[in-house]
Formats: sequence, C-alpha cells, structure tokens
Amino acid sequence: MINPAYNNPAVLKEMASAFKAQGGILVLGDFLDNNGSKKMLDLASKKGKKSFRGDLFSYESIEGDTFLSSREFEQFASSVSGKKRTLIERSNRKYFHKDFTLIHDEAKQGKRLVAVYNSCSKWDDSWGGQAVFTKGDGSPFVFSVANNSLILIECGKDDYEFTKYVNNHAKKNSFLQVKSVFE
Amino acid sequence: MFSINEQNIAKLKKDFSEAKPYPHVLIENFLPEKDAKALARALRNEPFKEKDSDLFHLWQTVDLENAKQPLLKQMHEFVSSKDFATFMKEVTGLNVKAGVLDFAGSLYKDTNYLLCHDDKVEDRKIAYIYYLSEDFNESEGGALSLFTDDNGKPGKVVKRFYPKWNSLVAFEVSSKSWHAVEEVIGKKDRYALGGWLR
Repeated sequence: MINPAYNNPAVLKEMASAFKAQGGILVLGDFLDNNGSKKMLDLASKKGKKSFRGDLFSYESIEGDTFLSSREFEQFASSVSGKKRTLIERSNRKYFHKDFTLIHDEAKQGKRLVAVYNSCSKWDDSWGGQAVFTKGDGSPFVFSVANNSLILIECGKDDYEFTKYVNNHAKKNSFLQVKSVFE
Repeated sequence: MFSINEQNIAKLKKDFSEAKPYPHVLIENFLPEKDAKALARALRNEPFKEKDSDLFHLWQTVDLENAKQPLLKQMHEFVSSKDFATFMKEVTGLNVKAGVLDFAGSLYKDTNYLLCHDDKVEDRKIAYIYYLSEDFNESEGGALSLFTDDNGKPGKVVKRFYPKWNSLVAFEVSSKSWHAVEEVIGKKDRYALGGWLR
C-alpha cells in the first residue's frame, strides 16, 4: 500500500533521521501506491454524515477503516518516529465550502503522534482546508491539502490542531482528510 | 462631535427587549448622512492589518483611540461619551457606563469571515457594529448571523443582518450571544466600526 519508494529499510532510516531533525515533523508526497491512492479517492467520493457544531466544527464524517488505521501503518509510524506506537483515535472527514474545525480546550490531548493524509481530485491552497498544528510557542506548522500527501507530526500536551475554514473559491470541490492519532 | 439622528427610542427599546434569539436591535440611519460618508472615507484611508486564526480571517485597524485619521479619533471620543452611553442605556435598558472598550475598524474582503463565538470576555455588556459599506445582499454574504443557544452550545441561525449603510446593530453580550460574520463573497468590501460597552 505504501509507495514502494518509501518502503525499504534504508529510506525508512533516512525518514526517521529527517523526522527527528525537523523537530518531529515529516511530510511525504505520493505516499500511497496507485492502488492505495485510488482506494482513498474512492472513499473521498462517498457521501458522509454531516457533523456540525457552530463553535467547534463542520464537516462530513465517513465511516470505515483505512490504511492509516492498519497494523502496517502503525509499524511505519513507529519506525519513522523511533517509538512503538498504538492507535488511539481515527477519523475520516470530508471538507466542503464552509467547513472547518476550531481549537478548543475540550479537544486538549496529551503527547501524541498525529498522522494526516489528504485525498482529493482537485484542490488549490487558496481555498483553505489546511491542517494547522501549533508547536509550543513557535510559528504554527501548516499542512496544505494535496492529493495523496501525508504528514506525521509529534504534538505535545499543549499543542493544538485545527482545519482552516474552506472558502467560497472551493465551489463544489471537497477533500478527504484521514487522521490517525497514536500514543 | 457626532450626534445620533433622531430615533424612536420607544420602538427601539421594544425591538431590543423582544428580539430573538437574544436581545438585539438594528438602528437604521444612525448618523447624519454627511458624517457617515466622511467616516467611511476616513476608514478607507486608515491602515488595516490582516488577522488570521482558526476563528477568523479579516482585516482590522488599531484601536481607534490611536487612529491616523482625526475623524476616526473623534468617533472614538463619541462612542466613549456619556451621550452615547445614555442612548444605549435607554435603548437596551442595560446599565452601561460611558467609556469605550476596544473600538476598531474592520474590513472583510472576499473569503473573509468570523466563525461562531459568544463575545463573552471581561465585563462586556453590549456589542455594537456600525456599518459603513454599501448595502450587502444574500449572494454577497457578510451577514452578522445570530444563533440560538442549545444548552450552552450554538444551535441554529435564526437571524441574519446583511450590512446596511449607516446602520448600527447592538446586542446584549452573554454566554448565549452566539454570533458569526458569514464569509464575504465577491468584490464588495465590508467596512464597519465595532466595539463594546461595559
């Protein structure tokens, strides 16, 4: 499922070094192989169930396991982050115009490794939808929406994440954000 | 000094107290036309800084006490005055004090928005927004939308105020005063002045 270019011991070692050197952040393009990417696009084309709370979130939830909640991905995340990981939370969310999530104290979590994968047939960064991660007191890290891209990011207990509001330039386009959280 | 156009206080008072989902009022033709036009010009010449967070993406001036445009400073003095506080007290029935609490200009361009929140900070009693743009319609967005309260969470939008030239909207701030500024769509810019009374 993982792009073979990423899935060999030498490259895994390089990615682990890069993850550490970048302060616990690694972004990978073309993350899944063709078959895996197509499966995600199929999921992205499904209609989800609307979740809305005006002061917290707006998106469609889509049921189903994905590669990001698999044992194989858990092992991959463990290898890159240099620590045995266990999946504690997963979600598949589809974002359209007017969708967002906000930072909120209720969403406060402990130390964790977050993996976010995006799937879309068409997206432009100016439409919004970026996954934004606060990292301590420094500048937030912004992960833009791009098809078949993945971020692995180590988050501390005081770090937050949100998904930027999708604006009217997105028209009827949408993207799927698959997220897994590991401890 | 500015002066408010003659208003039917009894009607405004009734509008405010009976409004749903929480007390609010729309005051049309708020200032004399020439003053509104001069303020709109001054606001367009004032520097704006882009503000971008999870909750909003918009442009804002400094607190107008420190405005570059003298007329905006005068407006700051006016909303800090006893006259303005007395007017708001009569309309809302709330015991507000003279003296301003944060008063700034805002600009929403295409794609800009302010998501839902309650404004409940410090000792704010009344929030007010004075519109200095041409009228907006539904297809242009920019509405101030008011939500019902659903056990401490925002419920549905039951009222929308599209910006209307030279009008002022005021609402009572509480943990239930859920509101948002809907995204501006298109080329028309949404200019306003806003602040709070305590």
